[in-house]
Amino acid sequence: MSHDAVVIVGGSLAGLHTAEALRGENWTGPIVVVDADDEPRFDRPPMSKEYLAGTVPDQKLLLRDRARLDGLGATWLLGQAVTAVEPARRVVRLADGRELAYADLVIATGVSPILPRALAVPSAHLLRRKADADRLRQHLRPDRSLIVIGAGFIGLEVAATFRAAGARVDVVEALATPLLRQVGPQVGGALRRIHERAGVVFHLGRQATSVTEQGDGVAVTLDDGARLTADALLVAVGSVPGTAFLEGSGLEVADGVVADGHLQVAPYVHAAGDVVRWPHPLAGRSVRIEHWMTAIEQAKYVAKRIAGTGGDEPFAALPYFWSDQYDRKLQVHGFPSADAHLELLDGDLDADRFAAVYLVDGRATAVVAVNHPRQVLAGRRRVLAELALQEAP
Amino acid sequence: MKITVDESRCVAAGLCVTTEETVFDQDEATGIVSLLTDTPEPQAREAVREAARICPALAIAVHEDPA
Ligand SMILES: Cc1cc2nc3c(=O)[nH]c(=O)nc-3n(C[C@H](O)[C@H](O)[C@H](O)COP(=O)(O)OP(=O)(O)OC[C@H]3O[C@@H](n4cnc5c(N)ncnc54)[C@H](O)[C@@H]3O)c2cc1C
Ligand code: SF4
Repeated sequence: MSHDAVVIVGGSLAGLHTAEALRGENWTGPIVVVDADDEPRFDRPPMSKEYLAGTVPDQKLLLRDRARLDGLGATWLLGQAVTAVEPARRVVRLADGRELAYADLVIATGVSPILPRALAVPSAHLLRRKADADRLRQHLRPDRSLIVIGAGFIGLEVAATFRAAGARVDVVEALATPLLRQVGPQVGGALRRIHERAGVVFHLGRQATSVTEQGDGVAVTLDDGARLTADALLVAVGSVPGTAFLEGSGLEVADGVVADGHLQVAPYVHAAGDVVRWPHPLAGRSVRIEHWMTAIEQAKYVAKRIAGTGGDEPFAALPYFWSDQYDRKLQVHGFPSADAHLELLDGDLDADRFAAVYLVDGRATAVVAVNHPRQVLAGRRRVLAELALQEAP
Repeated sequence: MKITVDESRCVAAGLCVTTEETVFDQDEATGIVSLLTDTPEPQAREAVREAARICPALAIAVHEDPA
């Protein structure tokens, strides 16, 4: 078997960008991209926003047009899962039993949404793939109602899209504040008030204990005995990294595939995107980040390492993400935490726009802004400078 | 050189503005890219090519003048 190809497992955002960046670094060898999905090259952020709302046509959701994909000169094995990796022999095994040898392997298998057993009725919706968004959109009508379980970003974006279309929306969340883990109590509280003004009904500090299907709809029972009914149910309680196929490979898995500071998992094995856990020099701990931008930055970094054109310094890009809800754009750079002290830079939390930094031990670890892109860039510079200080011995 | 931007792809990360602020601007509220000029001056052109290259959303298209 000849070990001359870069094999990329997962052909969505991180996998596609790795292949493109390899070509950009003038890597001319064969590239094979394997994905379990028949068409993984759809962009996911619009699936809870514009695409769900129906204002973005199908072909706009495709990350690249055909000509551009063809121009890459990669081999795409779609609808084929990788089921095993043998690092010692440098091969991966496909679901049909075939083996592929690699020069370098890139693990870019992302995450998939969790469906807890208590909520697993056949009609429950999850949201990760285009088909999920298409199915959910059938309920996007003023005369329909939706129950969202989980007030994370995907849950709240879908809630906003449904409310904006006039549907009735209930959101159930086990913690006391939406987005508590992601942006802390104060910013989470501000977003809660935006949703409440739009007419969303929250059930906070409540767990859904059971779900039953009723006629064409669902009934959800909460842990305080309350019973909610609606036409549809979205479960958005988090996701698990796509690492099942690594079992028995000897590669380390611990909530994600474990890589070193250079996103390297083992000799000739790299990882990029939502699936990878690595020690972030600026965070001072290991992190796994589920952000669009970070997946791309990691892909470009890994491509440089494989092509031998860069990546000598550890991967240290400051995480960035955005979220669109109603007419608000939330932007966050850095490492927000629930216990940080929030210092307002402009506006106040209930204003149409505001910006603030998260302070831990007096140093800025993250900046958050709603409809305030200029402040967020200034804040980003401050966070980078202050985190770099922290890092120094 | 002529440049165009596709606002619908932009993710408002502001990399272009940071790279060449005489050409790229951001909407005050949404951070979505806009152009201050679509025909950059010669001294800005290299930075514009760089912005198009690093834009994660491929939202910036550069049309070079025919040689
Ligand atoms: C609805 C939604 C909205 C989002 N909105 C935002 C946002 O506003 N801002 C933001 O920053 N981020 C957002 N994100 C997150 C962003 O989309 C992800 O960070 C990004 O998709 C990560 O890309 P990835 O390539 O790492 O993983 P994925 O996109 O999950 O791709 C992984 C691929 O690997 C394939 N795969 C998995 N296992 C195997 C296997 N064993 N064999 C072969 N193939 C396999 C899968 O089929 C999949 O195609 C959103 C995500 C979703 C779902
Ligand atoms: S670099 Fe691209 S995505 Fe970022 S603000 Fe500019 S155009 Fe938008």
